[in-house]
Amino acid sequence: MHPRRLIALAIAAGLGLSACLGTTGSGSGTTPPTPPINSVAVAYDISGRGDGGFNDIAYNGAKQAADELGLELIEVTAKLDDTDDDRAERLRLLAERGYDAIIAVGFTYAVPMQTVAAEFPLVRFAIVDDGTVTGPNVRGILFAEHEGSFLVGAAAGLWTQTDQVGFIGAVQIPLIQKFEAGFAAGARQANPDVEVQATYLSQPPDYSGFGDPPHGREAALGMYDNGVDVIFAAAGGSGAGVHEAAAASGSWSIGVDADEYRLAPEAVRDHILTSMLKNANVGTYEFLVSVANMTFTPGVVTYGLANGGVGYATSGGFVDDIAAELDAYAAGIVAGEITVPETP
Amino acid sequence: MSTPVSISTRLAGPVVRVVLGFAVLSLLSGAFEAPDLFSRGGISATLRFAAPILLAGLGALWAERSGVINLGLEGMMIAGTWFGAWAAIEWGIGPGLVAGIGAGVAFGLLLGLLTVTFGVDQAISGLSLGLLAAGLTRFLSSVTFAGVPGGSITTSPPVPDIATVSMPGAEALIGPAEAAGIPVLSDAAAVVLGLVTDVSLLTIGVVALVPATWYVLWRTRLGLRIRAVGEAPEAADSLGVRPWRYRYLALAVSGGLAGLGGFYLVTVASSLYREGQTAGRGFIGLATVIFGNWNPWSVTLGSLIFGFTDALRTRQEVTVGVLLAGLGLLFAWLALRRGLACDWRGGLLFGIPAIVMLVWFWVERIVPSELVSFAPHLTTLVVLALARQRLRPPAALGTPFDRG
Amino acid sequence: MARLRGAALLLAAPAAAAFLALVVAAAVLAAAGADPGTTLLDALAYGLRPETLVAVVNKAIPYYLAGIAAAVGFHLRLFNIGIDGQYRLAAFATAVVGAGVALPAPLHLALIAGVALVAGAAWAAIAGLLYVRRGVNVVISTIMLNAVATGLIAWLLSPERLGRLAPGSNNVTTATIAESGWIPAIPTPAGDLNGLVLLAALAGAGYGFVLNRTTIGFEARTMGFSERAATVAGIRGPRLAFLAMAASGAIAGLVGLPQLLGSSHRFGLDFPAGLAFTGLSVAILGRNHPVGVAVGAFVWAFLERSAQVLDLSGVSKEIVTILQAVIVLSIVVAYELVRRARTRQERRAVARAVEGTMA
Repeated sequence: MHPRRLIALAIAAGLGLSACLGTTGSGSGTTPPTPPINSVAVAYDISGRGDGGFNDIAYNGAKQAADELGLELIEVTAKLDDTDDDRAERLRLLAERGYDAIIAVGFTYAVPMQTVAAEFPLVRFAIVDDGTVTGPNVRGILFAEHEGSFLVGAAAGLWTQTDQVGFIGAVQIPLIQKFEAGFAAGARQANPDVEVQATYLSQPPDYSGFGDPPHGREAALGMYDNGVDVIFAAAGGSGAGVHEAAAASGSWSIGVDADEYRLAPEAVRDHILTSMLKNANVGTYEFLVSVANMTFTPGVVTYGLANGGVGYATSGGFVDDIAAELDAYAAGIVAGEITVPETP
Repeated sequence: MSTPVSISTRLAGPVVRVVLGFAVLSLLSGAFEAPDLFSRGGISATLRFAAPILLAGLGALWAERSGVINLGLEGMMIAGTWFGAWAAIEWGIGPGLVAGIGAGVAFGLLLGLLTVTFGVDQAISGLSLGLLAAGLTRFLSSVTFAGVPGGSITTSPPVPDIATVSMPGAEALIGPAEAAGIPVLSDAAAVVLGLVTDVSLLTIGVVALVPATWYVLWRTRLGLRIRAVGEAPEAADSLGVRPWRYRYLALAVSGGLAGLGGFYLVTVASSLYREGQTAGRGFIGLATVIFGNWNPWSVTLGSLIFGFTDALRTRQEVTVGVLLAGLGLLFAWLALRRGLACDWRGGLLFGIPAIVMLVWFWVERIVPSELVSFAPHLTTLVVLALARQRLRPPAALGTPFDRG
Repeated sequence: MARLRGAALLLAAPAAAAFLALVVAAAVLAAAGADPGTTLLDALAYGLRPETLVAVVNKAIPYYLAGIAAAVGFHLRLFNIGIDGQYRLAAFATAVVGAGVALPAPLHLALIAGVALVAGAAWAAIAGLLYVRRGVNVVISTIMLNAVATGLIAWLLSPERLGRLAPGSNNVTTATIAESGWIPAIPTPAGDLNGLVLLAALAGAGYGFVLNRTTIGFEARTMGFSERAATVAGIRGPRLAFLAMAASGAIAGLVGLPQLLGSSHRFGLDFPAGLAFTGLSVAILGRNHPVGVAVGAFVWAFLERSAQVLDLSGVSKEIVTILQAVIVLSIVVAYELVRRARTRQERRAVARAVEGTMA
């Protein structure tokens, strides 16, 4: 058979197939869905849910809202080496399959969402960690990570015996550098003599630093061996290695995103001074509730100290003695008396 | 060659060079406040970084000695990490060890099936196995680890630990010298302590595999046959040594070693399985075999160099600056030698990088972390480019043996 | 008759590979607890929609270019795993230069293409030089060079140097190329087709032409066929190897252009790594033939696109990676078996002919 005819036949067969299977639901219909939403889709970046950190927290907010509102919830995860086109196709597929609200977790979805959101005006989109996507149906959810990092930096500055504190970042990208900037500023504010060492585990587009505990452990051991006694691990899954190193060398570490004292194994938890909380669940929860209540407003919402989006953890009780000072710093930031830098 | 005199002369050169290089770097690290260049922690990290690469290197050595380029090492390591972690979590360390090695062996035999039985191109088969392992492990994670607490589609829950041991008395004997702060000597003490304290049992096992590999390949009839198959399969065949049999065997061992390397990564180098954990170590192991001239001792040296650079850049970035200065001095010396021998091109070839490195070090003192990230890879590349003259691969490397 | 059987044998290999892949897919799906029949049909139906097909072709364009880049090396048994670093470095250089100048469209595009070709070729030439002059294995050197390229780009792409960071964004990028350096999409009823599809076609045609119609192409094929024969014929192997590496790198330099000129117009963190293996696999599937590689790239992109649906039925879409590996492995085995079958067939034919003359 002639190859061209073969291709034509294949396409025809495909059309026939899709016709008989039919497409379930339609996000691009003309009438708004009633009740406002039935279903929500959460699209993660490559590490997916179960990272014990950021993705899990974002999921918790979506899950809570879905349970309260009786929504169907589905999750999809990016594949290693996905391009923008792949991510756009993923969002498009979700919209086509009738999901009324789509939450993308991670700034890598920014450009794809810009394209897809315009194609599906009746679907509500939210993107976590990005504030560049515009459109009447898009909510950007940003966090003032530098503010929270400032507080744990201050804690580290007050806590250190050697006047040396460390920062271990997952990947050297602007998002993680925000943590470093806040941490260093906080440490210096609380302790002018402090010296801050900083390192990153990998360079983009190599995102292995988010999930490389051995690397995190060795980097931390190197810092502890050289006089650092508190390390802030803004390193996703690699943070587990940093906490291990803290326990092994009898020093201290600081967790990120979640309250890591509660997640860590017994043996290391007593070396986790505090954690920088990034409450992504607040963002995803509020987004879904606003869509369900028909109170959705587009645009960027920044969650900082002022509205409970970031903070520090008190589990373990190590920072109880300095909590008053930390809270004073927090009040200063909220009142605008302290400005926290966003770049190191 | 076999008289003691000639052996000592043969060894004298390298030993003098190593001692000299060590002293220079040690003085540099003292002068420029990079204490981590030779510290106990740094050396013990070097061991942990070098061991998986050494295992991959030994694996590559077995395969290549039998005439097969094993580009599937990375895949075999990946298989070792997943199956090792999974079995260790389910049933404990022992079964994990067996499963890690077993997964590697299975992939090795699969490579044998492809390259030996079907005569498919060795590189294509090896690279495809890497693809297969990556897909398979992520799929398996999605049906096993994804549902468990602490696990996800890319990560396993924690894997049990392997015990560490220290040489009794070493601390008491050498510890004071380490703490004394004497130039060079204290650094030497730190290196020794790094090698003998808090060493994982598995690391000791890995180190033992080096002489074992040498013994089997060069001192037994089996090893002779494997090497013969790698040099001249037709000749071996005509003498009744069936090449396919020995290539299968060598590939099984090769895969087993790579699988063990994977198991090492999930137990000693870290404490969980994580997608992408092997990070190209299989290929780096392959590189150590080339600049190690297909000999286990040099493979060990190569993996130590890589592990050392990797440990340095991870632990204290400032040390990489000092290392750069050391490399600059080495290049300057080479340039000088070439220049004195009136080899102007060679002089420039080494001189220009030497000047660039020394000037950079003088002006910046540190290397930015983005550039530090590829220090181990660049080192490998430079060593490969410099070390080539005396290399001789097995003659039949890469050629399939057609049984006709 | 013999010719017909030969053609049947040639088609047997892909057919066998496809069948095996299907069996494996069904088995894996069943193992994951999904109904293989409906899941596969759903994926197929999604993949064959016109909209998805356009997306598949868009995705296949860089795969095709990477495949051609790999194929160039394959003729001399050079495995250019550095396609990855070469393409990213070239895309980065192209974006920086392209955004730094203001030129009329034709000149602008010519400059961009030139920078991409030269940057890719130059980076690959390092590996070529190391191979030819120092005998360093290309697989190893290109893997190391990929790591070096990643670090270099990361260093240059910081906001203090050549990078830009929009407010509220976490994706650091280069400056944006002016519109004179964009390639418009080709509108189709089923969505926009990336205009760079023409570049891919051009690259494929050029590759076919050089390979089959020029001396150097002839030399390369001879070398690939038999190194000894080529050397005896006076072909200079090292020179040829160096040129092949550089050419492979030049084509690799084009891999990033569809994304750069067709959609993003700037280089950022979203240029993925890992295209080298795709290129190698696609070249293997297509047996280094310009049309074959296109088919390979299409199949590869089709699998990845249609797998998106699997997530919705709760199956990890990574089974696609397994399928891809199975397809490559089974196709090379099948080709090898076919080759052996043919040799046997020919031997028998010769034997028969000889017997005929004897009788």
